[in-house]
Amino acid sequence: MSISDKELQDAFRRSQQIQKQNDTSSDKVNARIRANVLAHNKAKERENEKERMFVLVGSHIRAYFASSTLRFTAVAFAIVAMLGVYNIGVFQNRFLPSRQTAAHTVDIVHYHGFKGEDKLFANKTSNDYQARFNAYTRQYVESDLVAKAVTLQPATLQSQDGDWLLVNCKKQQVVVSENLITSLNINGRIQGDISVGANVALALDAQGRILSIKQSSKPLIC
Amino acid sequence: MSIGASLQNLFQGKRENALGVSERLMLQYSAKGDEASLAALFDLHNNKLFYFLRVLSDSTVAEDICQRTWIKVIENSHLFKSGDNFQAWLFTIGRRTLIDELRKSAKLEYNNDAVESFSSGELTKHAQSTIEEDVAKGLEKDVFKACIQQLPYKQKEALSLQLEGFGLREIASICGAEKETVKTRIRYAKDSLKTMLEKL
Repeated sequence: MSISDKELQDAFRRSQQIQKQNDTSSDKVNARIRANVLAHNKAKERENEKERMFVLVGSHIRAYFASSTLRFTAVAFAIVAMLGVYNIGVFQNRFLPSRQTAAHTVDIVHYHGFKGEDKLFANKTSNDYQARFNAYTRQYVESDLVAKAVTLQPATLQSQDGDWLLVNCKKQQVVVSENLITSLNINGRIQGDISVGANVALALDAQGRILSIKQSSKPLIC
Repeated sequence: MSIGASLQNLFQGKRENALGVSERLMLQYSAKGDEASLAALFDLHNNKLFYFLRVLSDSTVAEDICQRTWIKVIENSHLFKSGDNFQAWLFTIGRRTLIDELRKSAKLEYNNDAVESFSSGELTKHAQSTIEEDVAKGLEKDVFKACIQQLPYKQKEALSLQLEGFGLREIASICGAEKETVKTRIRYAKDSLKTMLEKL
């Protein structure tokens, strides 16, 4: 007797049942797969939740950047930043003394004064401009007084034998003692290489005393 | 609401009513990803899937493939469309996953043409030894399973699917074969199986 399709079908179902009952580990296997599958589902759900959050945040950010709020915020930020920078500068100027000194330090000074004044102050390293000004003024006043007191007389050196013999415009002879010549020489008040026949200028003070003798390249006009 | 929209809703409602429980559960899971729907689908189909895979391989491989199949269902739930047959979709995934595994591990089952050349006497002999092994292990005697496992891979695959309740068109779709080819495989499988069962 041949087996019909219906009998095959029944045998198949019976075999499935046997499989379910027979294999003691079947339930365990089933439970294990079920637990793993559901755990995977949960993990995927969490992942999807994160993705949804990112998408949501992303859409908010896109909307924000597309809106005019961003432009207003940018302008406000720029203003605040500028005010901040300005206030920092003000604060530094007011409250940081070192910076204040640095700001007023002058590297190069073009100083105008009398000839030789720079030599006068060569040894002074200080930047005390008040002292410089006082020294300048004093020098000026002294030189002005000298200019008023001293009178120049042209003369010609006639003889140099011991004492000097000078002849002025009025044909008067002026003798200068050896000691005075030495004293003037020591004080640097005889200028130039003066020899017999040289034209000189006699600087006399208010009392008519010789202050200095200067060589004159050209004959002075009497 | 317009008349067109009302009619559309009506047809949609009808179509949803025509869907099976599994399909509705799967659509619900696909939309919401809720665990309850997935658990219900698992309870409804896992035994059948496991048995199908068990016939085509062994317990260890079947367990592994079963789990991987369900994970693929979770990952590709968005691909399931309304109108699809859930069980056919599930078995297609399971079958492809198993074939990939068999190819990867270079097992003989899938491409073993030598098996097809065995005579019915030899097949019966193999089935007999399988039954004896099961009995020795203290398991209940399952003649049918022992016999169907001796069939060539493609024949037992097609026959298992038919006995599971799939139509020829569905089996052809699941196996990726022509309908006539499937028909032939099933006929050969049935003949061999009947012969073996009658002899035992």
